[in-house]
Amino acid sequence: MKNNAVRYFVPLIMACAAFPAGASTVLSVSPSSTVAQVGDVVTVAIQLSNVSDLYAWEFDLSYDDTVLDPTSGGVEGSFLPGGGGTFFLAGDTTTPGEIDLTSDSLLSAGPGVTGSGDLVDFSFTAISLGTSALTIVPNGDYYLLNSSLDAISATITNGSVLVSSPEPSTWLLIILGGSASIVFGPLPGKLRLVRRRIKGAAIV
Amino acid sequence: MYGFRFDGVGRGRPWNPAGGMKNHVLSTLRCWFLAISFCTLAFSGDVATSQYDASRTGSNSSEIYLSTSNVNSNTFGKLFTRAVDSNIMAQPLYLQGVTFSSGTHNVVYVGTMNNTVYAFDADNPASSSPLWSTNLGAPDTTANQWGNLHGIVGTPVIDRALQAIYVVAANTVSGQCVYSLHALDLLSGVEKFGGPAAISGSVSGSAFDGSGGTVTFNGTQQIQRAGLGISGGSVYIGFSGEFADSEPYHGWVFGYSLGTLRQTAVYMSTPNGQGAGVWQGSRAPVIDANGVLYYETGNGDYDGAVNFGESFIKMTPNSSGALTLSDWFTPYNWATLNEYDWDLGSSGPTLIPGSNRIVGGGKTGILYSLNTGSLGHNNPSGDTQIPQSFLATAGCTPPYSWHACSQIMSQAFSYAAAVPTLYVWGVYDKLRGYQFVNGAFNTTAASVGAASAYFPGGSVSHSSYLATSGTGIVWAVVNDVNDGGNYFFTPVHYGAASLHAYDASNLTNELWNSDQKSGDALGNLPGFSGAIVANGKVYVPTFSNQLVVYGLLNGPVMGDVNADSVVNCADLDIIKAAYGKTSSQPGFDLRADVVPDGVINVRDLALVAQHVPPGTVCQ
Repeated sequence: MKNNAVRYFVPLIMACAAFPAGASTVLSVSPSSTVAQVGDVVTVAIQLSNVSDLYAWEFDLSYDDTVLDPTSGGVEGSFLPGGGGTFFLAGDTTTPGEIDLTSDSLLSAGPGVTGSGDLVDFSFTAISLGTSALTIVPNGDYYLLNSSLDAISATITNGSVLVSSPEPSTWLLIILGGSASIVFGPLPGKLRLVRRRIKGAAIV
Repeated sequence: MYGFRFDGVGRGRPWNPAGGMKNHVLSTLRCWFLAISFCTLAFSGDVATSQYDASRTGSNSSEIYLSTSNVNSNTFGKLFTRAVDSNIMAQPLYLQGVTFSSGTHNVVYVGTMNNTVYAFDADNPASSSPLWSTNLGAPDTTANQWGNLHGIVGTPVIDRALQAIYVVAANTVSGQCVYSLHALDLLSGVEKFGGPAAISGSVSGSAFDGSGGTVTFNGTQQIQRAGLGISGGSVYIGFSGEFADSEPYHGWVFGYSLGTLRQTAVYMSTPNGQGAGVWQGSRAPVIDANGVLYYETGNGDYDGAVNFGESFIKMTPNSSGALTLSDWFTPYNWATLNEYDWDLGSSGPTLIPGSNRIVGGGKTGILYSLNTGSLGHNNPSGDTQIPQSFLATAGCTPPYSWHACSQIMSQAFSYAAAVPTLYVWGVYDKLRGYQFVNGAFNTTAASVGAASAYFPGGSVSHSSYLATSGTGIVWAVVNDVNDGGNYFFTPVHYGAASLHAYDASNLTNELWNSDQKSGDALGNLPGFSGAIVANGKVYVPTFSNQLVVYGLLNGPVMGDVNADSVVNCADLDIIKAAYGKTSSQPGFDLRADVVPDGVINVRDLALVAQHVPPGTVCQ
């Protein structure tokens, strides 16, 4: 019993200490909005924050298959493996517009992980202009489970990807005989950042 | 020893006693959860009828807990018994997840020769008191085959939608044996649908026991041994002759409405003759997808017109349940069968699932494989008109004598196996397995056991998880008492018996038997009834006033999806292979549905994952 107390209550106390009172668990697409150009590979992370005792998870992610094409069913993030060995199942991409049943579980008895981090990274190729929502679908495939295999409630924050036209090149701007800053004005910083980003850094 | 378990509900897995307090709490929660979730499931693990299904395969192909790895004397044995008031001849029945006001139980239903029907919790050793029991009146005393107790003999049948178990009891009224059909509520044992209904009837005929062109059913001359079967809206009940073919008797089949218990059918196999009892080794009739019934009859007159002794008979019900004999097969040597008491109907037929073949044998040990679309009638010059017949036991040894053959009383067919196989264990013979390939049986046994059985041979059944290697087991109840060469039931045959388990793919490999440890002893032989397997437990009737329950001594290992006694990546791989599948989809794996909700998802994955040893690395 003493061991059990140490094993289970101490992490709980630590978790309580780690989170400010009222901090809620949030499952989010990160970054929440991304801009890319056709042909770019865009990677977004599914992050979980302020969670306590996460043992396993599963969800479906929807996207606009006319805008994006997933390169895979996902790559395991670093958060759950922080608690030990895991059994990760990449999502099923056979249904256009959905990455279904991406899942992960810790192995062996024990507490889940506490804190915040990436569950899984999804990469997409931008295939045409437009905006695709990235939606964690709160359907029957949505589970966040603690080590008692009970559900953990969380707020879901979805994301999106804007696939835009390529920027005109600098030489093109010169040929056009004007200052880029005059003709087009300064490009939004986030657009310039995103074009070079492969894995989603936060949008400025 | 078991502490709190939650395998008492549906297909939940047991609490691991070594898991400590946390597991105890978790299991409690899961038990509650499973009890709720189970209410929405299909009850694929039910054994609601004789020989598991209407094809009478005698095979449970969805057994996920027992395997050739864990059925051995170290891990498998007697779990508990359920005391009853008399001998049990009828096969027990089993329902998953029956919700009573007191909670949800897996339930085993037992009928006794004292006319008592019991509903027992099927899992909890401590729940020795029945959930309910109902006595259907003093048993008949006019028959003496079973020590003056003649009550429930034929295996009852359950209609879960109607919440009723249909059972026939025998009573003595004014010195005569009277049979009555009862429909009992599954939750209380209370009579339903205005029951009971006295079984009676008559047909036109010139049989010597008739009068004025009418032959009337006489219960005192008949016995209700065959299992009951349901087709459409009727329950059908077969009768054969009283002990030792005491004439006059006939084969009778009655139908009664499930919802009103009003008679829907009366058929008699020898209206102008005698005999042709529906014995069937206690098996129920085959009922095909169209609701057509198939029986085998025993010694009796045959004319190919109205008398059908020594025959396979096919009976088609009309919309109201009335039966018409629509086809038959009678071996060319039916007269010889009669002469030597070589009843064709010592066992009942089995429909080969997914085919148009029906197979059955009798006392000669010959199996007949027939085309259900054209059974073949009779060809006096030989049985060449039927697809196949072959000797499946040691047969009859010349010089022929009265009923002295390696008789077939029972069979089981592993229809889901990679190579489906029919198992028979004839009298004074060995257990044999005949493979069914491309619509025909290989007539050389693919496997033969090492041991020989006394009368009445082995009462066999089969369990597996689909075609999964290492899960096929043949179960057999055999008589342990040397009967000195008798070929029919004598008191000695109700002596000590034993349950045996064999590797279905290699019958020389006996996995376990109940004689290996004294604590596992079965008790006395229950006639022709064998074991039923359901959710990791084996339920065996006895003539020792008890039902004996065998299973894994420490319960199934939590997370052991492939039943190899360890939890490792192989178990997780099974879940991975079926991930996302629902029970209605191809690829669904019942074993992987550890949290039995009909879908393979992260709850199954996590529950198994929790039980792999620390340090395990998969993928």
